Amino acid sequence: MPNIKTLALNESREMRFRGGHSLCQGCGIPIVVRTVLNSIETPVVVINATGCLEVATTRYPTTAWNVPWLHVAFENASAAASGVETAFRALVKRGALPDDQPVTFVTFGGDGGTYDIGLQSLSGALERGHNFLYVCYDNEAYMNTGIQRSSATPFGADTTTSPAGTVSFGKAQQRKDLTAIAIAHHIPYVGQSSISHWQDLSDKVKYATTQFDGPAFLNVLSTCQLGWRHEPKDAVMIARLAVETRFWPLYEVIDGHYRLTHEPLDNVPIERWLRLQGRFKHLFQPENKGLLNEIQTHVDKEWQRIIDLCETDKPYFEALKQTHQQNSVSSYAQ
Amino acid sequence: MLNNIKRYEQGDAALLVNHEWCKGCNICVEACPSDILTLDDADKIQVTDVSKCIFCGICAARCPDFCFTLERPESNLISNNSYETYTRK
Repeated sequence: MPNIKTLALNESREMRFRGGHSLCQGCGIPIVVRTVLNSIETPVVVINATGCLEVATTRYPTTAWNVPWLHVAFENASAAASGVETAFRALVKRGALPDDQPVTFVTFGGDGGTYDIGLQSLSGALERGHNFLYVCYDNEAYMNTGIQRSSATPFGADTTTSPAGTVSFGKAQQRKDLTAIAIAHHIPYVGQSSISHWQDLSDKVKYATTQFDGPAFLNVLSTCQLGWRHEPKDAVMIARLAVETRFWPLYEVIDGHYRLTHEPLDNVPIERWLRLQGRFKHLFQPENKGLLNEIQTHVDKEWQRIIDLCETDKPYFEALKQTHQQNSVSSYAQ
Repeated sequence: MLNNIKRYEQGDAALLVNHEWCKGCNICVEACPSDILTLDDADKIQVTDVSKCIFCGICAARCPDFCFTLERPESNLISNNSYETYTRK
């Protein structure tokens, strides 16, 4: 498993994704892409749904990608990934490609292209069991088109299509739990990670791409300084606070078994995370005090649900750890 | 663009900094454990004192604009360490 030096040194070995792109100052997306691509040892093929990442990294005639890269629309990234992966298998079977050189297929999509528009093609690809990794970088709104609400936008957030003002307090619905939807497909690996915990993300990518033949889904919290309205320098800190306030639990689900991969600090109220972001500024008006309690209650309820599931599955991971120690698989050799 | 890379050396390790790509977000300044990174008047990253650099790679792993590259003598070990054990927590 790479430590941070290895991760950084991998950059100089092979530049899979490089600077010079036009993503915003302090954007979280390149941190996700770099950690994911640097954690994979085999050659990589990237399929990219439309979104900030695609628009900002491939302005004609330049590109920030140094790997085979395919751009498709919002709604069919997983369908295209299925096709690419199947074509690869067909060519191997036919003898046109060597069968001892595995290739990893990675799909990147934003929360708009994953939670909303691309959900049906993602669901189809997960159900058919294609051997690929889907990474959703979740910055919680359609940032590319001007901060419209998506189903990943949290309750109470101010966006251009759920504006906070005298009549409305921002988004009135709770966010969709896409990780749970992916888990419901009974695929081999589902994980939730964040840009702040690079080791956690790197472990999950490595484990998902090396230990299973089948689809893997990773939901990674990214940040957006324009949409979240915070200081660019705080990007990593805010992502970390989302984890520590239990808004974004880091966990993984292996063959239906839950494991918490990061134990957050005790009693960090959700206000700590909300207060740093301009999109939640209106929640701190006196008349909106009830909303803060509502958000905290929802976070606590979701957290309790996750840790109850993790508690039940502890014996499974004890057994798995021993198997892995025998086979010296690093992720669980604690 | 690649001509603008500055090389900061300390023994056989080196930190390569591409000032041209820097967008001045300050993420690396916040993250650097040795406090040796700062923004200049043009909002581009500068290394103040490379003798204090511990070559941890946090700046290189965090920078959204890929301004930093590490060079260390053990670079050639990268491909062999995939299943090395490590301790979590």
